[in-house]
Amino acid sequence: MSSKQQNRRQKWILDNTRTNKADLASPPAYVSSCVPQSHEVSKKTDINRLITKKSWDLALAPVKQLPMNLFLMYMAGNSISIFPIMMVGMLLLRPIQAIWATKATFKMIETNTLGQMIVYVLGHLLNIGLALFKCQSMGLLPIYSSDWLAFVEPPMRQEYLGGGIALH
Amino acid sequence: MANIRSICIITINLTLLSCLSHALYEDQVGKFDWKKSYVGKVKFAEFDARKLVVGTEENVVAALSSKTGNVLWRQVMEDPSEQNIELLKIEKDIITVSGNENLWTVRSWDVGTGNLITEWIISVDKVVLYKFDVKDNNLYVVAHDGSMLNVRVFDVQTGLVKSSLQIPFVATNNQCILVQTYYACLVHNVVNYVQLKDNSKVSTIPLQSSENAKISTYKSVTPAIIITTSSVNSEIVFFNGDNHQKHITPVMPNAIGVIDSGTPLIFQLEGTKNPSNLLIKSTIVTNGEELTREFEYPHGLGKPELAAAQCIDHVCNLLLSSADNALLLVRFPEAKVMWTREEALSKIVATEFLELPVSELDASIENEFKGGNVISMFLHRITTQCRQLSNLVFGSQFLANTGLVRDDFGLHKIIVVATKSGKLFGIDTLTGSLAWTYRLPNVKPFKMLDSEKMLLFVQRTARYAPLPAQCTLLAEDSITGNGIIIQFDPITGYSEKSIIRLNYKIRQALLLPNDDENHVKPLVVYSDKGDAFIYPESANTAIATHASHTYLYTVDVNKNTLNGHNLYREGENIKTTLSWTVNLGPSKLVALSAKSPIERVHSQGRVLPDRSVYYKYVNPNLLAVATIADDPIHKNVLSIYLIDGVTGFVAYSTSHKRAKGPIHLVHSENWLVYSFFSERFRRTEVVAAELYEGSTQSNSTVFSSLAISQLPHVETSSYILPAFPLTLAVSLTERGITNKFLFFALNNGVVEIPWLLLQPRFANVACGPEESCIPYMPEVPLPNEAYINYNQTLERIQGIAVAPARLESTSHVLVYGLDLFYTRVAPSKTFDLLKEDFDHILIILVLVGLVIVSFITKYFASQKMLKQAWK
Repeated sequence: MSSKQQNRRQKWILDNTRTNKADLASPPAYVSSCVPQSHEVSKKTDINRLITKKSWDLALAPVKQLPMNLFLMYMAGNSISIFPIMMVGMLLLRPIQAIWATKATFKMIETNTLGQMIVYVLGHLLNIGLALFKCQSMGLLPIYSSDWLAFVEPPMRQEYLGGGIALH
Repeated sequence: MANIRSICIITINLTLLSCLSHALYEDQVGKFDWKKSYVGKVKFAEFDARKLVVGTEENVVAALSSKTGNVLWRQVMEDPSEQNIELLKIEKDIITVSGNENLWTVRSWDVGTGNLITEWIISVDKVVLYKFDVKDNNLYVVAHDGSMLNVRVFDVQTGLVKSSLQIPFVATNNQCILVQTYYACLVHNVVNYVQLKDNSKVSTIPLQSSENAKISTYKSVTPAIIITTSSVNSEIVFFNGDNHQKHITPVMPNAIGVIDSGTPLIFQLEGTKNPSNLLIKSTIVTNGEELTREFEYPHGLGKPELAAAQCIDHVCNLLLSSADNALLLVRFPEAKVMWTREEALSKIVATEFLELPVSELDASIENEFKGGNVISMFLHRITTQCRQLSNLVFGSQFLANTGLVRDDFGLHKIIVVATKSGKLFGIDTLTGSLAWTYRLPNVKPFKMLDSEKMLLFVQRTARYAPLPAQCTLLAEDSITGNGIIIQFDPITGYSEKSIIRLNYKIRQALLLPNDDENHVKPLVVYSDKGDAFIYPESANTAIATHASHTYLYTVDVNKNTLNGHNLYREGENIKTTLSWTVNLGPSKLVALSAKSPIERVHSQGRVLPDRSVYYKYVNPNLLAVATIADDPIHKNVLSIYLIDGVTGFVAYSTSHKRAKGPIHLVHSENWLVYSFFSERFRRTEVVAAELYEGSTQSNSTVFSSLAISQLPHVETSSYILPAFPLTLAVSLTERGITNKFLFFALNNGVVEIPWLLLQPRFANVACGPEESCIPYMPEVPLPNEAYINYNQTLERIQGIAVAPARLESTSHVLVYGLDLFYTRVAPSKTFDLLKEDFDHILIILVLVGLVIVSFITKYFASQKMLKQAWK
C-alpha cells in the first residue's frame, strides 16, 4: 500500500530541483540548501496533520448533526403519528448502530485515535439523549407510576364474606 | 363567550356519546338475543274462534293462538300487587273488570287486535265483598254485606247504571259466587241461591254431606254451579228460571261445560292406573252418553285442571292449567297435546349462568396423561386425533346430537332459573329453548325486603369432567316453613338425592370459596336458631383450615340491625360467634347490596392527568345499605352506609333529605351507584360515589379488612335520571379489564349507561377529550340506541342477571319479568374478536398469492443472475 500511495502522492509534488538547475542562477536571496530539507519535513507533517484533521472531522460529525436533529425534532412535534415516530426511531437507532461500528469507522485511520473515538461515542450518546428527551416529551417513556399500573396484581383477599338478609 | 363554550361542551359530549353508545344493526336483530313473552298464571281463559283469550294473576289480558300457543297480543294492566283482574268475559268484545277493594276499572278490548275500546270506573265507598258478571251486555255488580244484596246493573259499553235493586239474602259465609244472574252461597249444609231480578225469592239446595263442601262456577253457557263435597265427588246444579236441576251423575270437581254443534257436553279429567296417563271424559248432558280418551300427560308438570274448552265440529280444544302454572292445549278426540306453555317463567326468583361441559372428544384429550403406560397413551392419542380428523372432515356429529357443549368463547351457556311455583328450568342461551325442567312440589321462595327470592349456589362447575356440575337450591317448605335443599346437575336437570326437607328454618347460607377433594365448594347453612350446618357433610376437613377466615353477615330487616358472625371449627362441627352488630336505629332498612363474589378488578387505580396514580379502595367485603327514616322536618331521610362485612366498620355514610324509595343500589369495584326519588325536586336522582385509598397503596399484595388504617377518600356526584328505574345492575366481565355498563331497567326496557358517564370527576382536575373524560352533565342521557332490547318492549322487569363470558369483552345479560330477554353486551365493543364481516377468504388468498409470487420471483431472479454471470 505504502509504495503505491507514495507514487500517487509524488504525482502531485512539483520537483523544481531537478530540471535546468545549472542553467539558471538562483534568484537573489535564494538559499538552495534549504529546499530539500524543508520538503522532507513538510511532507511528513502534512500527512499527519491531514489524518488528524480527518479523524477529528469524523469524531465531531455526530456533534455537528445535533443542531440539525434538534431542529428536525422540534419540527416533528409531539403528536404520536407515523412520521414523528419514524424520525424518533431513526434518531434513536442510528447512533446506537454507529456506536457499535465505532471501531470499523476508525480503522482506516492508523494513528492512535482513542480521544477521537471517545468524542465520537459521546457525540452519539448526545444524540441518543436527544432522542430519549424527544420520547419523553412525546410521552413514550414509562417513567410514571401510572405506566406500570396495568401490571399491578390485585391484592389477595384475606377474609371471605357471605350472607345476606336474614330470612327467618 | 359562554354560549360558544356551552356549544363546544355539547359538541364534545355528543361526539363522545356517539362513541360510547352501541346500537344494533338491523341484520343483527335476533342474532344473539332472544325474547320470550309470558302472561303469568292463568285465572280466566276463554276461547274465541282461533284465539284463546286469557286473564292472568299478573293482571294481564292476552290472546294466544290456539294453534301454536304464541302470544298474539298482550295488554298489561296495573301492578298485580295493587290491582287484580276479577272478571274476563267475551261478549262482542272482551270485557275485563280489574281493581282492588273499592276501585274497579271496567275495560272492553277488541278481540282481534287487543286495542282498548272503552274504559270506565266503578268507585264504591263501602268495602264489602263484590262480585261481577256479565250477561247480555249488562254488568252485574253485587255487593254482599251479610244480610242484603245490593245489585247494580251497568251497561258494559257506557258505564251507565241501568237498574239497581236490593235483595235480602242472609249468608255469613264467604263461599259465595255469582253465576250470570244467579247469586249462590254455601251456608252450613245447604246452598242458597237467588236470581238477580225484582221480587225474586231465595231458594235452597240441600246437600248430602256438608263436610268440606265447596261451591264453584261451572264454566258453560248456561248458568250452573258445581258443588264439591269431596275431592273426587261433586255435582253440577243447573239454574233455570227460579228452579234448579241437578245433573244426573256425579262429576269431578274440575268439570267444564261446552256446546258442540248444539249438544251440551261436560268434560272431566280423571286419573288412571298408569300414573303418567290421564283420562278425558266427555259426557253429553242430555242423555249421559260418555266418550273417554286416555292420553300421556307430559312428564314434569303439576296437577292439571280444566281451564277452558271449545268444540268446533266435534273437534274439541281443551285448555289445561297445571299446578306449576303451565298451560297445555289438548285436542280431544285425538287426545294429543298440541302445545305447552311454561308460564312459571313469568315469576323468576333465582338465576345462575353456568358453563357447559366440554365435548366428549375434548374431555378425552384432557384425560390423555391420566392413562398408565406409554403404549396406551400413544394409542389414546392416535384414536382421539383420528376422531378429531373425522370431525373436521365430516362435521361434528356429537355437537349435533347433544348441543350442550362448551364453545371457545364461553358464549354458549346454560341459564338455571328457579321460579316462584317451585319449578326449575335450564335454558340454552343460544336459542332460548328449555333444556330441562324439574318440578319441586310444595316449595315457596323466601321473602326478602319487597321481593321473593330463592338461594341458588353453584357448588361445582362443569370444569371437572367426568364429575358433573352441581348446583344447590335453598327454598322454603310451603307447608311447614322449614328449609329445603335440592342438589342437581344444572346441565341435565337430574337430581340424585331429590329434595331434602330440613327440620329447621334457614336464616342464611354461605358458599365457601375453597373446594373440597371432590371439587365441591361446601355450603354452610345458617339456621334461625344460630346453628351452622355444612353440605356436603364430608366437607368438614376441607374447610377446617379456612373456617377462621370466613365471616357471615345477616341483616335483620325487622330489627334493622346488621350482624356479623365469625365461623370457627369445634370438633366435627362448624360454629359461629357474633363478632359485631350495627344498629341502624329507628330508620328502616330498605335496600342492601353486596359485591358479586366473582368480580375481578383489573386496574388498581385511576390515572390522573399528571400521570400519577390515585389508588382505588377495593374492599371486597364492603356492603352497601340504604335506610329510610321518618323526619318531622324533611319528611323522609335516606341514609346510605358502606359497612365492612368483616368488622362492621362504617367506611362511608351520607344522607339525603326529602328522599323516598324505591331505592336501588349497585355496588361494584370501588364504587356505589344508587337511585332514589327526590321529593324536593320531584325527580329521580342517581348518585355515584367512588372510594379511593390515596396516592399510595397501603398494602399491594394482600387485602385485609382487619388492617384498615385510614378512611377512604370519597368522590361523589349526582345526576338527574329522566326516568323511573325498576332495577339496577352492572356488567361483569371475566377479568374486569372491559369498561363497565350500568343497566337501568325502565318500564319499557333496559338502558345501558357507561359508567364513565356517571364516574365522579375530580374537582381540581381538568376534564376534556384529551383526558378522555366526559365533562359533567347533570342529566343522564337516555338515547334510544342505548336500549339493549331495541324496539321490543319488556314488561314488568323484576331483575337483571349478568354473567361474564370467557371472552373478556362480553357479558351475558338476562332480563326477567313478564318477558324473558337475553342478550350479550360488549361495553368496550368486541375488541378481542374479529368483526363479523372480516374477510377471511380475501386475507388467505392475498397471503397465498404473495407466497407464490415470492417463490416465482426468486426463481426468475436466480435465472437472471445466472445469465449475468455468463456474460
